[in-house]
Amino acid sequence: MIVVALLVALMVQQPRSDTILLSVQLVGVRSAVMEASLDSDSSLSLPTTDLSALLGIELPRARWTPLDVLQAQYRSLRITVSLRALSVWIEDDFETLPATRAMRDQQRRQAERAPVIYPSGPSVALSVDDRGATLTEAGYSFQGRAFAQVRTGSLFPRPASLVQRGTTSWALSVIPTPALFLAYSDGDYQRPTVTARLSTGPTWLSASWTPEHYVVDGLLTVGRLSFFASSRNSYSITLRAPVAVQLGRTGRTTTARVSVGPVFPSPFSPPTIP
Amino acid sequence: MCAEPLGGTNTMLSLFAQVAIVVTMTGGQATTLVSNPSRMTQHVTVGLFYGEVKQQADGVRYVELGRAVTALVSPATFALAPGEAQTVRIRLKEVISAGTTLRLVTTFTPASNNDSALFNDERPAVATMHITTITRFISKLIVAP
Repeated sequence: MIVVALLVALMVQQPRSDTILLSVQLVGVRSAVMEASLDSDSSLSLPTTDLSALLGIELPRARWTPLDVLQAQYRSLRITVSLRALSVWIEDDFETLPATRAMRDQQRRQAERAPVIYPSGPSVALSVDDRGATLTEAGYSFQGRAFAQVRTGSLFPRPASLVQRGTTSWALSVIPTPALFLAYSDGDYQRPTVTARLSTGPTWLSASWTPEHYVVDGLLTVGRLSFFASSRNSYSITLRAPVAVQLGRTGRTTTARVSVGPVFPSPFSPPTIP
Repeated sequence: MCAEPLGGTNTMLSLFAQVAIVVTMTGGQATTLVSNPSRMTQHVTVGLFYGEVKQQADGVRYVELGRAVTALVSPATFALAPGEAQTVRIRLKEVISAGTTLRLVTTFTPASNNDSALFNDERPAVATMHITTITRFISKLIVAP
């Protein structure tokens, strides 16, 4: 019935008065400038095609979509209009719009196992403790895209030992684009380690390698479904919905999880029962 | 009224109005801000024109406006109360090559005193003279690629 009412509302073309150029912003996601219709009763309508593309939703076929119709269809949206600023802000805190979900998912994939981004410039730190151990750290970050760090000191002091041996480790990280992260670390008493993380589109890959072993994790997101697989013999399928469902297998144990609420299960970790 | 650009700023300011001195149009679209720092309501009209700089015999240079550019100026007319500001967006409706300099003409007309209670019908008819000062700014609008 609601859909029929919406269709009827949209079929009734309102008398157009002024065409105005509005910046319509899906806050935190993207924005577009649209030629909107401001009717004589001050009601605002946006072009359906542009609005559908911006929000990633299907709207009833009509040239114009009144903002109050959009608000009625998506009640959790917070829509603010300023004709002085010629702007419309659409806030989707509950991620009900596909465009918001896609952006947030992309951000989560890029944040997962991402390195700490250091501000550009050199850094030095000296630490001492009451056992006489010291640690000196020096690093340099180039515009947050490349970071080199050296740590040296008596990292593992042994009070019973007559000689406290020093140890040095170093690491080099590069982030040429937000999608890619590469790191290499080596030092005394540790094995060389290579770490990589790639997040592009719906795909996420993370790998680490040492001479003894390697680990590869991957995630693919298709709509509301996420598929995760790891070389550590764990797998999961996650359905992101108002009732979220997650099915995972770790080792020889298969676990299912159903959850309701604003905190969705992480698709990067199969469900487990401790 | 001739409004001189303020040194070191990117706006033109008179007692009655404030507009951007140069506006850059990218992708056929531009945005600017028009404000009213005066103490009276101003009726504002905005238009986009071709124009070229010419020089008088005494060396004074001036802008001669040409035809209006086919564009959507939103809003093209509006009123600004004292202290208010209005965003103006422009979208070209004709193809203009990059590098062209157009002229954004913003005209401020103070709200008529006839709206005030001093000039209602109950006031005895007396001979009055009205002087309306209309302020017109001609800004550069540079079409970028």
